[in-house]
Amino acid sequence: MSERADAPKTVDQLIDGPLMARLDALDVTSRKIFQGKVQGERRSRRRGQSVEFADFRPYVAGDDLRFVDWNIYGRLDRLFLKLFLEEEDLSLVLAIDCSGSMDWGTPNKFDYARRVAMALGYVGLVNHNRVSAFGFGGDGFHPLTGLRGRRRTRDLGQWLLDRKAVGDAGFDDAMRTIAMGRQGRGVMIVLSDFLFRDGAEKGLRSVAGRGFDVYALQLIAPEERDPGMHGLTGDLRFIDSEDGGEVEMTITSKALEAYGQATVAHATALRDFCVRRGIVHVPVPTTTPVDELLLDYLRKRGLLR
Amino acid sequence: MTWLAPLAGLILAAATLPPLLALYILRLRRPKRTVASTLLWTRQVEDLRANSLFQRMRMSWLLILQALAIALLALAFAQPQADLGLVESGRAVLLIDRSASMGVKDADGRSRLEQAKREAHERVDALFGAGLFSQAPEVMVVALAREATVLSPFSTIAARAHDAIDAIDATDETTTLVDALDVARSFMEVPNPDKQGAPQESGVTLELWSDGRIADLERCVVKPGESLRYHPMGSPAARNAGVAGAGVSRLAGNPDEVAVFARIMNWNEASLHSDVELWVDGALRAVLPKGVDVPAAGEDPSRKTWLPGEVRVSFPSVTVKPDGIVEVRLVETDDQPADNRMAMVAAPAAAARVLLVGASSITRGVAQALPVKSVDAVTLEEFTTRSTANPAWIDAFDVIVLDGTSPPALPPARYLVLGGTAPFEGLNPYGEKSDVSMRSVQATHPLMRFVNLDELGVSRAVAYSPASDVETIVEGSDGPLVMTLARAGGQAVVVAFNPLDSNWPFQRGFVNFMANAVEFLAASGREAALPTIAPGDTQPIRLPSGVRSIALVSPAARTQEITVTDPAQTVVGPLRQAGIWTVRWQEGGEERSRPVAVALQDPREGRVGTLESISLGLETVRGVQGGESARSALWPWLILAALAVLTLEWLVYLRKV
Repeated sequence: MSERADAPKTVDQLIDGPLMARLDALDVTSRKIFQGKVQGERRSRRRGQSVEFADFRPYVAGDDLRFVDWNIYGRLDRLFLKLFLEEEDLSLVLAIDCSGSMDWGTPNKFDYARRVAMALGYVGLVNHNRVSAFGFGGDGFHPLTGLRGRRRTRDLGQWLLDRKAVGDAGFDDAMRTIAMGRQGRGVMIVLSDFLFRDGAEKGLRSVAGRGFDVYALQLIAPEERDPGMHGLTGDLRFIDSEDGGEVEMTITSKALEAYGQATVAHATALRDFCVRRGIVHVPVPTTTPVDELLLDYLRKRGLLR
Repeated sequence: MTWLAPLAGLILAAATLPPLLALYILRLRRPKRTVASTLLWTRQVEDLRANSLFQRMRMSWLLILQALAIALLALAFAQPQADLGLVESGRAVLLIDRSASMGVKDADGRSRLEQAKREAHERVDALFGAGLFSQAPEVMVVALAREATVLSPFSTIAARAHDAIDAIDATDETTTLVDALDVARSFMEVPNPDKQGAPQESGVTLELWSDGRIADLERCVVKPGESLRYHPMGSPAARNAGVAGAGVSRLAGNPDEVAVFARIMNWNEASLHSDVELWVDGALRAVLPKGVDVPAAGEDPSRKTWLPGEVRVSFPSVTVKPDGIVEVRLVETDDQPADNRMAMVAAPAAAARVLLVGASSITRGVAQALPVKSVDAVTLEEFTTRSTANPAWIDAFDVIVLDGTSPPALPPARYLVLGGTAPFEGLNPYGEKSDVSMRSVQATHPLMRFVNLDELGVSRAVAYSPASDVETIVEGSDGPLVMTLARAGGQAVVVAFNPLDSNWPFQRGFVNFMANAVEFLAASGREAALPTIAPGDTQPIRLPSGVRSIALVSPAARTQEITVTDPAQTVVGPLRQAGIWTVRWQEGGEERSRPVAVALQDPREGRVGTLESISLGLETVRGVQGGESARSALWPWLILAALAVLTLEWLVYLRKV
């Protein structure tokens, strides 16, 4: 694959200073409260060792005597334990589709995915969340885990720059691998066009309900939304960017109409599946500016606050 | 259905249809476009075998319409023709009859000639409408009448044939075909200088538009390589009756009065009753009180030939001024009005001037007894000398009598030859006969009026073998005895024997014959007494010396200026229309004129019923109808259909895209 001239080559090209400044005020949020590895800044349903009182319960043998409320024992002569809410950190998992189909469109879907991943990762890092990134595609499965803190921003950026969009996605295997190796609970954001021959259902099923609050960001290039407006007409031979398969098509008004119906059906099927599995499906045209996506679009969807 | 160029159509179809089908079976070489995924496209693609050479043949309206358009174009290239009447050799001779009978107007009000010309135009269009890639036909146009006239030699230009057909005028002549065939064949055999060494082209289609009433049909044959298509014009049921002949004779006692007689013929299968009128100088002068009853035409059992009904009529004497026009009219409405009239020019009553050359005393005595203006006598030597020194000298005499002399040559004049060898072309003297008796005589001929030859005995006579244009008046036991012939500028009556070698001078008929002969010759030679001639004949006229041009006015009042080179031997004609023609000239500052009567005199032209088939030698040719000969090229329609299909294909394509 030849290197595109407009592909980002430095971290600064993935995320610039003004965007970083605007993202500093954001934090990743989750519809759930998760237990983290270390105490974080989020409440958890688990009773823990935070300072926020939760409840009392009678003492039973084996309980930690440090949590006995001696004031109540003095008044009632009975032992009660004092329970507190435990605060946990957030695990942010970024799953980036590095298949060949992502390296297409204007703007390029893969570049757009990397910019969005960089911005989301930056938000996670500056809020001391545990950030993990996974790239999957024909180039293989590339994990980057254990990032925390603003100083790891460059590491994340460099990792994104090193990714290549080639070959088949291997989405099912990638999702299963991510689900099996998860560390704690958190928010998982999948950046993909979801153009998988075997479908995305099996892969998404692997991660849904496994402790992840999953967001499926479906990237759509403008050429995919309306190929007729982008010079696709006449007798053509389509080459699949992933597997090199060829399809001969005579692009007519009927064919374009049928393609539009197929596109809607594909997106609708993905959305319905996501709804059933508690996954947030967000179709993202790549013409949407990244800052607008994060500051407006995803905030309204509850991913950022 | 005839295919003029089937190979062209096959080649076109073979060259285009398989590639078209291959375009649909073989995969198109389409431009490649990389897309993110073919996932969403494949759901509407029926065939994904992108790497196979062939694909399954699918139903496609575009393919059907394109194949149909190519098939139509291929058919057009093959140049189908919708008629069987094609000229096989590509050479055609259009023979169009313009005789008197072709002037008959049939049910549609158009004459047969007009109909023939229309069909001939259509035929030319059909012949030249073959197509772009066929060899152009060669067409020759010949007009038939008494003589054949080539109006257009073999030509590959349609306009020339059309112009030639348009130029055909109606005549009142008879129809002959032998001449036309000879002329056409002579053109066929002319070697083409552009094709030196090439094999002689053979084969021609003779297309004849006629009513079949052709005088010399029995002498015509269709030679090998020729084919004759006969297009009968008119109706077999056409009716006609007419004046077949008429004569005028002056009464001996009163030269200003003439007796008129006529012959009425009926060519219909029913008898006819009609009035007959006599007109003089355009005024009705007499009507037969009871009309005439003309018997029906029919087969003559004795002669086994078809004969028209005939009746002879005579009118009471009427006064006619010199050069008066005498016309006999049959008051009958039939299909051929041209022969319902016959006009004649009455001879003037002026007395003749006679010159006797070497005359015997008997002849001289008879001549001096005749009612003539003057009688002069010279010897043969004197005649020869004076006529050679001054040719105009003989113009002073109306009749020159050569009595027993044999001059080597004679200047144009009117001669009565009594014995001796007459030096006229066409007489062909070849010896002498002895003891000759009379066998037959044309008793109705003006020369034989009041002449009885029953007692004639001739001891010695010149033997003649006359040509066909020499009219034999008296046939002897061993050859002609009295003949009459016309030669340029003059006329002659030839008696094959010297009267002194017979008992004729002792009979009353000799005197009557001499009177008849002088009157006959004088009348024919006088300026205002031209005989009635048949259409197509020429008329010799002796004009006064000094006349350099004349005007010839037709019965339809069309004037033709003619330059005169020899006033003594001027010939006008051929005069093709029946009626009174007028020759005008200027003499001494005054206009002079001479009428010439032309009338249909051939009974064969009177039979106007169309023959549905004609016989040439042993071959009988059935007539073809006009519609059968039409040939229309279908390729323009096929091209139009192909364009329509292509337009439809374009619309279908637009709807699909």
